[in-house]
Amino acid sequence: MTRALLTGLLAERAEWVTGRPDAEPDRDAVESTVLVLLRSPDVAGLVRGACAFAASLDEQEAGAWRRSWTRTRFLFGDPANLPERNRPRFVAPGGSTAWLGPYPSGRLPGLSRLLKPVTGDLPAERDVPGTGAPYLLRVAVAGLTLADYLVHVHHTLAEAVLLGRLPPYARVRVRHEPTIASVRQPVHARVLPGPGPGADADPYPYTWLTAA
Amino acid sequence: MSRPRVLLAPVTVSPTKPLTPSHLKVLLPMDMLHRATATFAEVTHVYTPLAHAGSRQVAGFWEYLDRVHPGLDAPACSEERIGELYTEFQRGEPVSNAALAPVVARAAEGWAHPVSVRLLDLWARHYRTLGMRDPSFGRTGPAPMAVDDLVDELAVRHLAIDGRSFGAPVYLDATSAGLPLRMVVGADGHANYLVTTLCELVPLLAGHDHVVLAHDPELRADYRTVAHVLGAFGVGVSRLEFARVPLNGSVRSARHGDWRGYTVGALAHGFADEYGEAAFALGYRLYLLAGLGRTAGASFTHDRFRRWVRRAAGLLDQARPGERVSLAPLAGRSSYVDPFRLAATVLGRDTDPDLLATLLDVLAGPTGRVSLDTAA
Repeated sequence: MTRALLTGLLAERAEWVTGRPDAEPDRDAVESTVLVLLRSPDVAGLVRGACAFAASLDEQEAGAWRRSWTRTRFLFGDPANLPERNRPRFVAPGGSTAWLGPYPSGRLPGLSRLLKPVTGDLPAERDVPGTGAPYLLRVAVAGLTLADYLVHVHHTLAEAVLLGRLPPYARVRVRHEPTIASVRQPVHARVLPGPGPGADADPYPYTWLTAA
Repeated sequence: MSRPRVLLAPVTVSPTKPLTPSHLKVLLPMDMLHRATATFAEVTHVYTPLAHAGSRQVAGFWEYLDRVHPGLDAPACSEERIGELYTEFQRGEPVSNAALAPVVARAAEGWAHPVSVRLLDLWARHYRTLGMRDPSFGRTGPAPMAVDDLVDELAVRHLAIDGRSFGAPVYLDATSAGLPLRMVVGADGHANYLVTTLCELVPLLAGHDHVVLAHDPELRADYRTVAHVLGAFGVGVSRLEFARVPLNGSVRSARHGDWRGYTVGALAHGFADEYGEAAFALGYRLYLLAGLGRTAGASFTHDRFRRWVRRAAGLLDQARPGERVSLAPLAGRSSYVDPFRLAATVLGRDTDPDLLATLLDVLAGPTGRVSLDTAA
């Protein structure tokens, strides 16, 4: 893996968000937040839901997502118990996971205060069925908490769909590796400024999406 | 009309410290409610003193006693001495759940530390002095269900988030009622008192129409959640809240050791000896309900207590045999009689003499007397 490739991917995402190629992530930018409620970490539901959720955003919402470093909060909660006023935008097949929002950050529904941040073990690798050619999503799991795992997988897939690089109903093989060491140009990747779990200051790839 | 089937479930006082007026503020009114309601309904009173033996409060105390006081002569301990040991335990550093695990496992097999066995013996004597209907609190009905079975059952009904299979906690889910998720089993598998409470109550729901929960205000959030969960099984649920009783101007938990001078033994020594046990028992009930009332305003004082015991002695002295009347009208549209209403009726100037006679007979009847059904 070359530092140049990672730096390039980081810059590409920064440009996608801010419209400027050299932009550092602007933490003061207006943020919006998506709430994902889950009863249990269900990878198939997460993959299908992340793609379907992104595909369901209209142009304005998609633009807002892009510009705002949208946060996604994963909370324990049961989609079946959502009150009428908090109808989810999407519920994954099986009913274990639901997507709400996006909401302007700071204006989250009261419901969010009733729920708890997710904790626990990472889910197992899965082949998520879909249509067309399969994709491979590699996740760097060394030192990763469940909450971060869910955020990285979710953002990778949602952004790939918003960028038009991943069909919303594609087959996706989710694989875990301690760290990602790859030289192939990805379809999309989630690369964040270093240091990652190691002390290395280089940009760190958390996910790597390629054609399988 | 068939008799309603009512399940009474007051919060359990675990035998680790002296019995205080705050504990009795729940137990004595529930005894009154039971006695009066049993005249027109089928009543089950769920009360297993060691239901929460696996909790940090109980198992933690037992672990502490075995570690720090291995040679303790438990059968010779007074209630006060056990209270001091408990205060000492509370001041110490909490131990890990792993250190508690062997004690929790023994408790699950039915073992109880001799100190708690001793305390239960002392309490049975107190309950007799206090005229409790069932001083041994014998339990009826099926055995509590297993924790795993309970969680399975709750998860199927969307009443719990079940993290057991992926290293996360179990939460009770009453969010549809606007209540926050409540953790009841930790990621390490340690179950708290809400789980043991539900393990006892859920198997009994099928045979009952209505559940009456009783607790102090500190447990309000937990019991609102429990009420929602039980209600989802199709029974009616009521919650009765009994304010803790301030001693010396402050409301503090028994763990702080403020109970000195207020134990049943200490109070009985002064007042039951002078006015008789029946007046002591009735006076204690009336003081808690009518004297101290619904809120935790005034402190419990010996002077006031004496006045109420004297007043109860007067009521009992003046009691004349009357015609037995039904107590069902006191329940109104409810399936049980509210204990505050019972106290107010006993003390009411306009209370019908037959009703008063019936009430005194039912409420102050001898311990262990069960056949109180009226010809209503």
